Amino acid sequence: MSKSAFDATRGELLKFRRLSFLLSVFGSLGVLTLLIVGFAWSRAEKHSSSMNLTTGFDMALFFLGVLTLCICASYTAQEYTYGTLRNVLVLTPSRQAFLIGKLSALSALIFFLTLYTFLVSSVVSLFMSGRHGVNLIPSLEGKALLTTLAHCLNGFLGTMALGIFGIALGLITRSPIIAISLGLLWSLIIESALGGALPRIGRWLPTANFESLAQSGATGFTYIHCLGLSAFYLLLISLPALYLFKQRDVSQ
Amino acid sequence: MSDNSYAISVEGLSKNYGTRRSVSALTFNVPYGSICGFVGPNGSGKTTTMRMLLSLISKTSGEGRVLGSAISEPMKYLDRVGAMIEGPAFYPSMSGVENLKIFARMGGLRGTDPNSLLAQVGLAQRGTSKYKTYSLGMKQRLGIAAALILDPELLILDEPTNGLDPNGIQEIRELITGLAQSGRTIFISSHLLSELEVICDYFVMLKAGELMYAGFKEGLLGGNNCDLIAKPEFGVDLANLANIAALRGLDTSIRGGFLHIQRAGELAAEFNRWACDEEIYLQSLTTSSPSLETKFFEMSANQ
Repeated sequence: MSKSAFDATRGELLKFRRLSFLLSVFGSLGVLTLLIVGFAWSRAEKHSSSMNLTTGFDMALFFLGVLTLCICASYTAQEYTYGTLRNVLVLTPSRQAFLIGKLSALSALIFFLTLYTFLVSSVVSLFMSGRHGVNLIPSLEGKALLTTLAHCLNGFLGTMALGIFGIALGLITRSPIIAISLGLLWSLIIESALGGALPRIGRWLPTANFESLAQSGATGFTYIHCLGLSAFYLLLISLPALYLFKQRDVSQ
Repeated sequence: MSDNSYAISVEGLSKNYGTRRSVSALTFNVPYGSICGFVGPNGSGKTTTMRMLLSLISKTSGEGRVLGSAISEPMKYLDRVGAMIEGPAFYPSMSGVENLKIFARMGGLRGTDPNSLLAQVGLAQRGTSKYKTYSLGMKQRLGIAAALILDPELLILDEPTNGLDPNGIQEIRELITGLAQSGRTIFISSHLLSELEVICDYFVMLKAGELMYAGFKEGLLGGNNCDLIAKPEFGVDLANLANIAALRGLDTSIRGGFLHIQRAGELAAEFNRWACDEEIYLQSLTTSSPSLETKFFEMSANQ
């Protein structure tokens, strides 16, 4: 990483070092994870074999993905709406460095959010599992622990894919509201409608594929397949976004 | 080609938006160490030109150099330039100090003290308040503070006194003058022509994207352009005094008991002698330069 990209990352990270931001993001994520995982366990049957340490985490990832998409789209597009991009580009003349800085800082934030979600969901799962007569301790030992951690890492990759999707939308639309609306519209409504109407293509759609990646693969889709398809979709949206960001005049 | 010995040097610089030409073949230089007023009505291309100099927008044609480097290579000069373009722009939910810290980090500076920058622009008391609570004048000051983060050789300021009260305008004037005294070049646009007239020693004037004037203040407002205003000791001598000037081929007019002799500023001593020779003694004899505003409208009308 060049010095200017490193400086841009440090500057971007400073934006997250605000109590109000951290409290609202981690607070809402924590409460929702607790509710989602608690709800999942409360509906589970006694001694259910379908419940494990990461079941709740997989469910909470959906909300984490939506939150990440919104944060990334908003943090990117608001540089245009606030007009701060012109300040930034005078101080960090390389647009590439600015973008690397933003991506690195948001990646760090997404990593901690995923880790936090994993920890909250694990603690809730461990607490609830006892009441349902399910022993989760083996998931934390030996090879099972490595599998659990790999699952957490895939959760991060899937969430990161949604984050990059949000950044690309932010760069293309240059408006937080439009970027978030488009992102949510596509992820929650259009994909669901397409998946409902054409079940065979449902899992091939971008957001569903990111979700499969986060869950370390899905029925009929290997992990490598999900990884490759996610990379393809991200390239598909990132290339025009990067081109526009590089070429467009900063006139706002 | 553009000259390397100027802080800013552009030749044939143009910018088109579709079929509309925003800036048309501008050619001008700004000397190092000058305070250059960039003057023109709304939509004349001032901000567009400034944006091209900062590489925020691409040029359509022409060449430009800033601090000796081509504007196509902004990495070579932007670390020596501070700018506030089209008003201040900051993160609203962060304080002035936090905003300056972020921009300092992005500029690769670790030891920058935001509080000293805020003190420099008279904002030390409100440094910890959120930006969104600032008045327009305070936002302008923070914008100038941000432009000073890199301790720049060249400051490009777009309407820095916009929204400031008279005290604020005076403080910014003193700040800019002080910055120029430390050797910086300042390229400043404003609609307050009277303000620019006070602080600037060099002017670039635009109208509808085209250059009207580029040069030193004296060339625009001083020298032969200066009028002579005379008042005789006795009012009855006013007509005779006008004759003295008219006989020597000077244009005169009598207004409110004063004789106005156009573009005769350099003839003050001689005119006094001519009047004395005719035994007309003067109660007052002054020169009057046209204001920047007058000159601007005059040149606009002539274009």
